[in-house]
Amino acid sequence: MEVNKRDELPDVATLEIVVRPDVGVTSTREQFLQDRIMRVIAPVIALELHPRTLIQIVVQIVQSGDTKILNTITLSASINATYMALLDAGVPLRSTVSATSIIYYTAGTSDSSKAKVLIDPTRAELEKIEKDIVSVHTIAYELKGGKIERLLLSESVGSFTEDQVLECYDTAANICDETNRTMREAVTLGVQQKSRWREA
Amino acid sequence: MSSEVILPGDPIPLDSLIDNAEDSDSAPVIQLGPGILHIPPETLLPVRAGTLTNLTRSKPQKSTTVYVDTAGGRYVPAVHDTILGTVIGRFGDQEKSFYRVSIPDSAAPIGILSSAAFANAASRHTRPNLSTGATVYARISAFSLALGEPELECFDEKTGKEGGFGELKGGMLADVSTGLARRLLAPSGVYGGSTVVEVLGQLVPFEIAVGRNGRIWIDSESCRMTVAIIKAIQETEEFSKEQMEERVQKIIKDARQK
Repeated sequence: MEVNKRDELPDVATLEIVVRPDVGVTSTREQFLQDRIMRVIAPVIALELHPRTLIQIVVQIVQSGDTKILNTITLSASINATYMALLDAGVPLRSTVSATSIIYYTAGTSDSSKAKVLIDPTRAELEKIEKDIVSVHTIAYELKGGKIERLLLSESVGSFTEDQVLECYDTAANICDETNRTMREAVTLGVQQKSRWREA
Repeated sequence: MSSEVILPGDPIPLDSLIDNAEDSDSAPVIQLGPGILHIPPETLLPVRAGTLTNLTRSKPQKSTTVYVDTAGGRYVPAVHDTILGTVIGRFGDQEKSFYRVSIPDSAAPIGILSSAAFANAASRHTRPNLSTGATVYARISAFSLALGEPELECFDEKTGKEGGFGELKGGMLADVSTGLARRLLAPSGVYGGSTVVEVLGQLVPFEIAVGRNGRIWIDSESCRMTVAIIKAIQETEEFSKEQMEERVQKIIKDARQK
């Protein structure tokens, strides 16, 4: 797209991310999401291949999966959705990205070291345990050829131990790996469908 | 020609590609097409999702072209591409004037068309006078992503004659995917893409112009028929040949009856 002269960069593309809420007007929450999505997506796009242009990504939240106090599910879903949109538009990318949400909660016990783990929960699941949530982690990995390359985002809220965060990284690596495989399957299916005309 | 779906960042199995060229004595020549980024010295990085395709050719020099084939995505201008654009303005003086042409959904959204870049435009009096909103069929004569605006021309580069380029009057514009636009422009039989145009041509007379930017322009006997032809082309994009023929015949028959 054509870039506003003020934002034009001579050697790379300008990246703009807009998050629109499902209800109400844009607030600090959307600004927070924009910032985090930007941090994850920007290093993956080959911006230098489209200098002096604008890549505008609009993330419209259809239904927020989070309860009022959280941002994690919306964030991880936005990152995954943004990545798929870029892939579909043919924007040059260096690698693949997947994100996941991990939630620690106490199930009755007050001992936080015995907390239970919930991964990529639905809103209903989240509402059930809302009062027992101890910590919330959003993690995004960059993958190349199906292998974890580097950590792009680690966003933690709540009280947690170092071991828990490290455990989170391991769990997230497995989940992201799986998400990545699902993504690959979806893309393969899409490509196959689009080239059906080649047969016969 | 081999094919395999790849995602950005996947390793490119160069060995299997070089194999094809290895039977000659000279070093293998690999040409990189769209979707593959070369990071010196020898890293090849796919930057799009699609089918990894390689074409080996022996003339004029034995070489293998490797590219990522995609059916859709945004249009990125390239020299020699034909595009369909809309005139959105004019600037310059009477001696030297230029049109600003919008190329929608393109990585470079505005092209510059000189009023002298038409056939028979040597004299100021024979130059066409395009008004804002006119649809033009043009060819990209110069473009670089770093420089921005593509430069357009409206004449056949081989003969210098009109060759179908210029303002398109009447008819209707429609959007298609960039992949379909590419197929429609391919020579018949080779890529299987323009078959839908051939099938339609046997049923009803019409004019078509295809822009690589994912736009087609159609004109025919009536508005109803034009809309039906556009529908037939858009709908059958992913159909197999038999399905496509059946569907096209039905759409045209329906358009005739009402």
